[in-house]
Amino acid sequence: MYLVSREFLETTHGQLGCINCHGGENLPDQEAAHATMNPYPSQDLDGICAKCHGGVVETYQFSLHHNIKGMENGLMAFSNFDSINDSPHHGEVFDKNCISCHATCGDCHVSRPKPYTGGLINKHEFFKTPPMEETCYGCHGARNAGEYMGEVGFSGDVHFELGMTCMDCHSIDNFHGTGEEYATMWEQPLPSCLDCHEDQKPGNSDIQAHNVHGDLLSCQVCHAQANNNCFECHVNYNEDRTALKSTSQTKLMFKVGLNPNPTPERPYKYVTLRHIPTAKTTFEAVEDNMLPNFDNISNWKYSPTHNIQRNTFQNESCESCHNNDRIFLNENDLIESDSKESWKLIVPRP
Amino acid sequence: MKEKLYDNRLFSAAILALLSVVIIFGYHMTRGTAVTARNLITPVHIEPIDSSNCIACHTSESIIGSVVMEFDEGHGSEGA
Repeated sequence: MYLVSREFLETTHGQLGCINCHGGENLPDQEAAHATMNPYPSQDLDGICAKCHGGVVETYQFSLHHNIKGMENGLMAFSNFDSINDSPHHGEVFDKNCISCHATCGDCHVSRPKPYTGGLINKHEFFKTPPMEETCYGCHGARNAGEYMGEVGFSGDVHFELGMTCMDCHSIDNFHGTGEEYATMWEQPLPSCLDCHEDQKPGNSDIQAHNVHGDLLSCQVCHAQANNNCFECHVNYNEDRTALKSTSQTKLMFKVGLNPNPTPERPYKYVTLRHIPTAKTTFEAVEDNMLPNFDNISNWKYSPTHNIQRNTFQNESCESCHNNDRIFLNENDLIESDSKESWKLIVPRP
Repeated sequence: MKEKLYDNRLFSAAILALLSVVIIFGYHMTRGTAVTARNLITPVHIEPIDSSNCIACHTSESIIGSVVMEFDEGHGSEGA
C-alpha cells in the first residue's frame, strides 16, 4: 500500500521529498500531481539511486538478479541460437515471461517484488538488509526460500530455526554482483557448508560418515529433505497478449542422482536433484519446436536443497540409504516428456 | 668550487619525492580499480524538492481506503 509514515520523512531518503525520486508535481489535484509520476523510480538503473549509490549500481548492472542472464542463457541453451537477439520468438518469451524475475533496487529495499504482491513493505521504510520473508521469499518462495522457511515441504531448515536469514550465508555479492558478468549462478562465488562447518571436512571430521564418503556426496544427500519439483510447465498468453503466464504441476520428492556437472567447487559424484518445469513443448503457444536442443540437456538439475536437518530419514543408518532404492533416481521416475539426457543421471544399481 | 647537481639537497629531495609518487602510483595501478561490494557509497548532495501536497495525502490514514494493491496470484514466481 502507498501509505507513507511520518518517521520515513525524517530519514535521509524521506528528506529528499517525494518528487526527487518519483517525479510528478507538487499539486493538490491528485490526477495532475500523478500525471508524470513514476511509481518505480529504481527501474532506471542509472536514475536516482545511482546518484548516491553509484558503486552498487556499477556492480548491480551485472548481477544475475538484475540482468537475469542465468535465465536467458538457460533458455537459449535449449535452442539452436547463440543469442536471444537472433530469435524473435525466444525474445518474446523472455520479454513476456522471464523478465518478471528481474529485480530493481526498490524490489528488495523498499517494496515487495512485483511478481509476488508488490506494495511497500512498511510505509516506505528503506531496509538496508531486506527482510527475507517479504523479499527473497517473494521470488524464491516456491523452492529454496519456501523450503528454507518450512512453507514448502516438510520441516524447514535447521539454520532458519536458529534464526539465520539468507544473508547470513549469501554474501552481498550474491545480490549486488561483483562487477563481473556471470553466465549462470554457478559461476559466482556461492556459500559452502564448509565455510562454517570447517571441522566437518572429510578427513578431519569426528563423524565417521563424513570421512568415509569424502567428496562422493554433496552435503544435501544426507542432510536435505524432500524438495519441490515442477513438471510440464506451459506458457499461455494473457487476454491482451502482453504477458505469458505459466502453469505447471508440482510434486514433493527426494531424489539422489549422478552430478550432472561436476566442478572443482562441487566435485561430488552423487547429488540431490530437482526437476525443472521445462518440457519440450513448454513454449508451443508462442511457436512450435522452440527447444530443439531439449534432449541434450537434463531437466533434472543439481539442487543444493535448502531444508537442511542434522538428522534425516536417509542418514539414520547405513541401510536407510544404501539399501533404499526409492531415494535414487531410476527409470520409473522419468516421464515421457523428460529430456533424454536425464537418463544419464540414473544411479547404476548393482 | 661549483657544487655538482646530485650533491644539491634540494635536487635530492625532489628526486625522492618523484620516486615516492612513482612507487605509490605503481602500487595503486597493480591493485586495479575494480569496484567491490565494500566500496558502495558515492554520496552527492541532492537538493530537496517541496513535496508537501504528496506528503499531505500519502501520510493520511484515509489513503488506506483508496489504496491499490497489485496482485499477480502471489505464486512466488517460481511456478508453484
